[in-house]
Amino acid sequence: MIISETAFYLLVTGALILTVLAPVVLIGLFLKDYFSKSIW
Amino acid sequence: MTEFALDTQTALFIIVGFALVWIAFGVWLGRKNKSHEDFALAGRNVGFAFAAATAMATWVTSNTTLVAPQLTYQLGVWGMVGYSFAALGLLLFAPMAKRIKQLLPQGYTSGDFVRLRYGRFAWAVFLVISVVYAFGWLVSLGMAGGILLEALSGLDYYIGMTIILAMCVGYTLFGGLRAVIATDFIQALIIIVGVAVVAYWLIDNVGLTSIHTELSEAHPQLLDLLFPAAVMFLFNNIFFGLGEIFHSNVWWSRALSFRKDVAYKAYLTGGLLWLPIPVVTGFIALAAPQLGIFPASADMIGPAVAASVLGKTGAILVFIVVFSALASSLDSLLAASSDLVTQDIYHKLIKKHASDQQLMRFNRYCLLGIGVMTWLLCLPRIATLGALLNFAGAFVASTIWPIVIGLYWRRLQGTFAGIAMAAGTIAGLIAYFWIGFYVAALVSCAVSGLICAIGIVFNKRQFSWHELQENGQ
Repeated sequence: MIISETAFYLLVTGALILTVLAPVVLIGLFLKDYFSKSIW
Repeated sequence: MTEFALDTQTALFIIVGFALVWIAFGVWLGRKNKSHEDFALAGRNVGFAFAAATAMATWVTSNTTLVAPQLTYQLGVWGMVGYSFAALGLLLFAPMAKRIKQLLPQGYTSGDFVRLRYGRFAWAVFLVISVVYAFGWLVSLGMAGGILLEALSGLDYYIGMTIILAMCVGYTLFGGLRAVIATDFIQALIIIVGVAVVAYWLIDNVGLTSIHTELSEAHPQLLDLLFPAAVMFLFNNIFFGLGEIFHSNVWWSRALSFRKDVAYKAYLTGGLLWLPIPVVTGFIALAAPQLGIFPASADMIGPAVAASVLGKTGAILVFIVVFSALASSLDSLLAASSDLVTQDIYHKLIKKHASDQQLMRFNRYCLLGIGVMTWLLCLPRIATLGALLNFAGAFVASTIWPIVIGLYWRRLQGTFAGIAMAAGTIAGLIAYFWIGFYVAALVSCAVSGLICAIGIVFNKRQFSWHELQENGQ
């Protein structure tokens, strides 16, 4: 059973969108820790 | 233009530049290390941002950037999906990290827990497994560094491997876990951005429809959802990932170093951030047939595609991404392994009354020694990265049940836990050689689980959680 083109498209683009969001989340968390002086 | 995507001088310039910057950063961060607890556990006060980033970045190893594309190239869609299921390890470790902080607020290593919970026999078996796994992973990372540099730039394998190892030993030696975690944060950002750029370029210029059509016609097995070996690989990889994370001091020392309210959410966030990355790196490999790329070694498929489509810029990007991925795992493993040897062997067996400064000094010597041993083991290129990695699966999967049961239930005792780990490992190795790499972790986990179940049924004594508190803790 071959994965359909739609499912393949959703799998790859969904993963790419989530991957791109990761740096935004990490930098946001860093700024929050930085301003609340709780990095370490 | 040479046959390589990157000329040797540029590669050497990047790697030496990175090494100098990271080591200087490690020295700067190391100023705050006044005690062994500072050096080994970053003062037990790591905040959420660094905690989540280090959980994610450490799990993005050379395996995610080199082996995930390799397995996708060999096993198709299930290769990348199966690989991403390794995120379950981080997600399931989140509640365990919280429990570890509760049970061992002053603990140092995973070995501490196994020794106090199960006694010396199980502890000895556990240390053997930990050492085999740590060196398997360290050698796989060191080799990956050398192979990557050679494939991309023609730089001699031995020189590339030596520089990467020396750099990681250097900044960890000066900065301890604080340097490991801080560099992980920056490395995590580099890795994610680099991987996303290459995948986006492929979608934009080659096209998902075009790649799907080419694979359907010429390589339909790579899109087959019922590829038996690939489905088996998926389950095997889940258990392998669980075993790696549940037992390894890399993850325990982080849990112990995070602030109390941070451990759970940091591992959960790290796991969710990591989940899509193998799908993206795997997808890069699926574009290879369409682009007419067929590298001599399957584990170079990801870098080969990226370097091919993005030219010299792509080669530099891939080079930096994989280099960061390697460093983020190598430093963690070096630090965690030297902590394990310092705490479990030196402090508990050799010098029980060692002072704080003696422990810190020994930890640094140990780190240096592990770095040298890794370098020696990397000299002969003994196996492909995938083979080396999956061999370790037989060992680590045997620890899953003893660790989980040991943390939450009181019925399992040391003898059965030790036998479960030893027998699980042996059964996993037999499966590895007789059946294939894709069942080693599965078999190891199943046999270990069966012995643990028997142990629980026959045991009458309840473990007291107070026994986890050592004198002075």
